[in-house]
Amino acid sequence: MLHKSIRWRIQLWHGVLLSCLMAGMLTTFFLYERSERLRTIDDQLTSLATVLLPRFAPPRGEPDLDRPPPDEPDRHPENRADSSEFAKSPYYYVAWSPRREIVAKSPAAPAVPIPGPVSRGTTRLIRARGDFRELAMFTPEQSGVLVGVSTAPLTAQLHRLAGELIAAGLVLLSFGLAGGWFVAGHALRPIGEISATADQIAGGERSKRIPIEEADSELGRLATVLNRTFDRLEKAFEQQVRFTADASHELRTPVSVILTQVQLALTRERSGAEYRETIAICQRAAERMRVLVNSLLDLARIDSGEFDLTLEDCDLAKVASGALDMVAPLAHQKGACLRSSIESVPVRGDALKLGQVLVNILQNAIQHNAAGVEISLTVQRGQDKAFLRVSDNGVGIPGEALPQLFERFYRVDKSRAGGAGGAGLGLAISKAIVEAHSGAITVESTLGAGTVFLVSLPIGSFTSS
Amino acid sequence: MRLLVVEDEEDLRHGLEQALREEGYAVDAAGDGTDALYKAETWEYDAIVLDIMLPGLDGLEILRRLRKKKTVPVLLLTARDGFADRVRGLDLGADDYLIKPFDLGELIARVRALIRRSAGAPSPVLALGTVSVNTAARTVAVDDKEIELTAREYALLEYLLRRRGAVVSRTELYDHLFAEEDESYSNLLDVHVCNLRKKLGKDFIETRRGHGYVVE
Repeated sequence: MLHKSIRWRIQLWHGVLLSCLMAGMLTTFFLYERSERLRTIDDQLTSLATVLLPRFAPPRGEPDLDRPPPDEPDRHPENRADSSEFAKSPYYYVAWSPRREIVAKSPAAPAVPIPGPVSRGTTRLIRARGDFRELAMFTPEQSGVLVGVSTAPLTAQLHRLAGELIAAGLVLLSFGLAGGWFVAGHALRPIGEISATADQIAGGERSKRIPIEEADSELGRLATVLNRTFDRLEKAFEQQVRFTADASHELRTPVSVILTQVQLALTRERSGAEYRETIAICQRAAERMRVLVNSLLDLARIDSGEFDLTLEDCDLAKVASGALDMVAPLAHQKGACLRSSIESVPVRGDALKLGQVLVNILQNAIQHNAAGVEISLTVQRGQDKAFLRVSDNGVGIPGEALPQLFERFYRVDKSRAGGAGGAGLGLAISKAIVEAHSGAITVESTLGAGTVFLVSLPIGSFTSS
Repeated sequence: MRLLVVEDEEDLRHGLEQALREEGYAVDAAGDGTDALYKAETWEYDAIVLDIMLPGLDGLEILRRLRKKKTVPVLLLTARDGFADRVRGLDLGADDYLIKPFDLGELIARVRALIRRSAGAPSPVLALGTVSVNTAARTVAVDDKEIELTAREYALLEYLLRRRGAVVSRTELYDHLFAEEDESYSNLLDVHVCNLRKKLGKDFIETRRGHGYVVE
């Protein structure tokens, strides 16, 4: 699991990069330091050789016999000083004649092979010989002087330096790694919180939200988006729970009716009329369940986006008169008076579904009002819209009920007295149908004066939403 | 025994009424909250079957108001699965509840149990002398020999036995044995008492003139 952790992976990459970087930097530093020190040595060797060369290599022609070799200190005070200086110093020198014979050398000089011969024009040669670094300078006549020094102390210094650098590097690396671990952890902490919160929500604590510390950071923005999503999910979940509870509640009543009636009928021998009565009641209950189940299926299709409209050019006048025909028997039975003023308006839509909307609104008007109510249906052509208007002079709808009128399972009158009450799904479905036609449905009502439902639909061409 | 059934769904209400009547209860019914509260406060019921979702006043509100005046046992009917309604109902003073859809037999058994418990007699068998009444099976035996009683006679006997030792007035008997819609003649009670005496023994029910009847 460790290799799957982002923190560990970040740490690994961080470690590898940091190590390479540090190794590169320290190596560069070490090499620079080493070359600097060698250059210092070379500079010193050069200046020494520059001083010594004229002494041992006389000018072109015969050798300078006036000038004694430096190993005869008595003759020249400066040479003596040189000699004593060389006696104490780590430097040594060797001088030779054009015939490659050693003419002078410092007391401490080791056995040095005379370099060369060199090609004409070469005046200087630097070489590393074992633990020694030597610089030879030549005259054009091939006489010359070699100055050398032991590099053992330098090598030791460099070894020490390398050790110190490695130690410092390791310390820095561990600080870097610790810092990286901390920074990665700090940066990833919100992700941990996000996943912990999501876990809790998945575990049922649906009201949990991700704590947001820096709303403007990348993770802060992510958390904000996730919180909004959680809000929507919670709301949808609650709606779903309420919907299920309402739906089961609506189904329980007819089931209770059927169970009670059937169990009652079976307790003893009944007359044919009593059985018929029982069967009729069961039929009514089953009918109600069928309507409810159909409505629930409609809603399920609407919710899943599988609400298929059969789009065709249709005339609202035909839809309206069809709806009037359908509700006429009910209106007659309930003593409602239907009026209509219908003009032909072409719309592109599903005639069956639009008819369902009208029938639903008309049925509501008939069933929720007392006998003698006047209901009028108007189909009108507007500028670019078709209007269906159903108005009545009935009891009206209380103002506080209007905003919830199109909600699922909402019933203004909680009772089902007189068989008027459906499940409270009709208007919710009607609204979905109208909106699927890119239309709108609104309601206005005055208590005691009447209610007006207005459906507006786009005329002619219609685009699926 | 007289019951009140409160249920707004007409078909269900009629079914319950009929079923309980066939069990020998005198049954009144109400289809909305206001009517239900009026009846519950006016009459002396032995138990009330009360639906929670009602037009007008809901069942819980009826219960809350009723409990200020009466201790009549109440069986709540609810169509909701959630426990909130039931907890509230029980806390408001309901004695039992059933979730729709329910089994008719269970409802009747629960009503019987409610009546039994409210009368302070947890046993389903009431016995006095040689007469024993099994209220669950609705059978009556004298000297271990089963005898036939009409529903009304049985109800009268059960009521008197539950109030044994107390003088029960004719008004109380009318209240508990006849529903609102029942036709009751003033001498109907005398006829039933007379028949019971024939079947159970002449002295089983005593008449306290001007007060009522008593069994001891």
